[in-house]
Amino acid sequence: MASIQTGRLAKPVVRDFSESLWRRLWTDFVYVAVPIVVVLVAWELFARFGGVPAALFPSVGAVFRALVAMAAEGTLWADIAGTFVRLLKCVIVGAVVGTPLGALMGYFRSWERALVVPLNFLLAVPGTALFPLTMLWFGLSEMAILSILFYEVVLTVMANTWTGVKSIDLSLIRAGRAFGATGTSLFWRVLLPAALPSIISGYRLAFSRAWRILIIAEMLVSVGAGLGYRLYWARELFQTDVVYAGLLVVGIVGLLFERVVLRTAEAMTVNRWGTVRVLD
Amino acid sequence: MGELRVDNLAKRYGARRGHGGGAGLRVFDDLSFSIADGEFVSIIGPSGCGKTTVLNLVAGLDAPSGGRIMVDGKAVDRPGLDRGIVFQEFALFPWLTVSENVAFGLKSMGVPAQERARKASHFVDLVGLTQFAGYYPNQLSGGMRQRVGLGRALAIDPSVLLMDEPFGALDAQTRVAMQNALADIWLETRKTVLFITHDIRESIFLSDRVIVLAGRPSQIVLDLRIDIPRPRNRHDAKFQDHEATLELAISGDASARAG
Repeated sequence: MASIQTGRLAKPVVRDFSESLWRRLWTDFVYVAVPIVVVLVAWELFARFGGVPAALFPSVGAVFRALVAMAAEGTLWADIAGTFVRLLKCVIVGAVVGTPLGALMGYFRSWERALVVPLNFLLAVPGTALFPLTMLWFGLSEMAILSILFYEVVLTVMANTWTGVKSIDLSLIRAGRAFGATGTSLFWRVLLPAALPSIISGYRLAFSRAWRILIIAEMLVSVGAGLGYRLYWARELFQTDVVYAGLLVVGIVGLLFERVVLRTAEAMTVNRWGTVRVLD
Repeated sequence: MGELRVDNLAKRYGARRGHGGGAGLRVFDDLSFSIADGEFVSIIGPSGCGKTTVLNLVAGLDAPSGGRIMVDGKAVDRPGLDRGIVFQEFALFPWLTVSENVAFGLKSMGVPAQERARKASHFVDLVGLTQFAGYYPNQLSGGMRQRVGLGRALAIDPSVLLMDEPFGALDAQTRVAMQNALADIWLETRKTVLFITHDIRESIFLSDRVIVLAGRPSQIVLDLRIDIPRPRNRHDAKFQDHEATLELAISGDASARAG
């Protein structure tokens, strides 16, 4: 392990909340806010004086009005909820199926040999390429979307769990065996926790892939509520401001979920496990 | 109780038919030694002499090609809680705290939670980590990590303590500090110890006997009793005599091979 830092004894750092924290928050805020303000101002100037019709490039105000209207009507919340429920369903079911399969591939040579070719083949087929097929099978229904997401999540989770289990530090397995963990207890007490950081980063990756696919999928299939669905229908109805507002929401929701929920979960395991790895 | 007997132990690697005469690598062909209850024995030798292989075989983490290993009259054929191992690379479980790491083997033995916590805290104290019981391994320095490794091995109250170059990954100063700590702990616990090292002074400082392994396939070229009273002083005159003897035993082999 090259990452061992000798001589370093981590002690809880007591931050000086009185000054440095507020200062830090302020600089963080400035770094985030300034580019946003610049973009918004440039946008507004271009919308007003750029000579582009408002139907193609609405003003900032129009986009925010559309956003407020969507929120007031409730469609905004219904769309976010619709998209999220689909995502959660597939990620949960996909993780439940993919994790054990990936673990089996990692632990048993026979499973690995049997599954490595199919897995790599399927990983080379993008989930979106399966749309014609799932539409034939399930029609323009919810299942056409869910099956694709499920496919993508299972494969991503499998691949990450597999490599995660394979790269467990062998000395941990030896230590586990030496201190009385065998068979299933070795699995639960050593192998699973040792592979947990890779498994969790697999979930994070699966989430972000599924998110991308889902937005597209909702455009292809009429599902009633969903962010992709909203974007698509706004175009059909020529509501350009709603298209922009929808894109804004897709970006914000995706960003918040990825950064706040998934990255935090991954950072917790990475810190604990002491892997010196820089999170992107 | 803790008596270790190794009889006619042999280990060969990669013996393949039609490959270099079919012999593969013969680490050793016929190795015998024993360690009495409460005795601290080191095995030293040049790198590649198979000293870590001996430990892995005794640990049951590797299977011998011949011979047998007995701990308290019971044959070794797999890892077991009658032997506590301290690994060179520490091999602590990073998701467990110091005391949970120390308690790992106790949990395998089915010790009830309350008793486990009590014992774990005793051994955390013994290795000098009282204030760090709730820390995770990656928050500790190298020396402290190996203290956890030692506590984990002692906690299961093994018949034999097996230590595989336990201080090899530490810097020189920490290594000396850890040798002192181990000498103190050993005086307190009087465990039977098989200690692997390539550091001559370390072996003299700690051991009742030092076994020198050399040659290829390797054999025991010297079994030296260290009769310096404890606690030991590294500047004792006898210390230097032993050092010279051991150096000669190791280099004598090296020149024999060169000639």
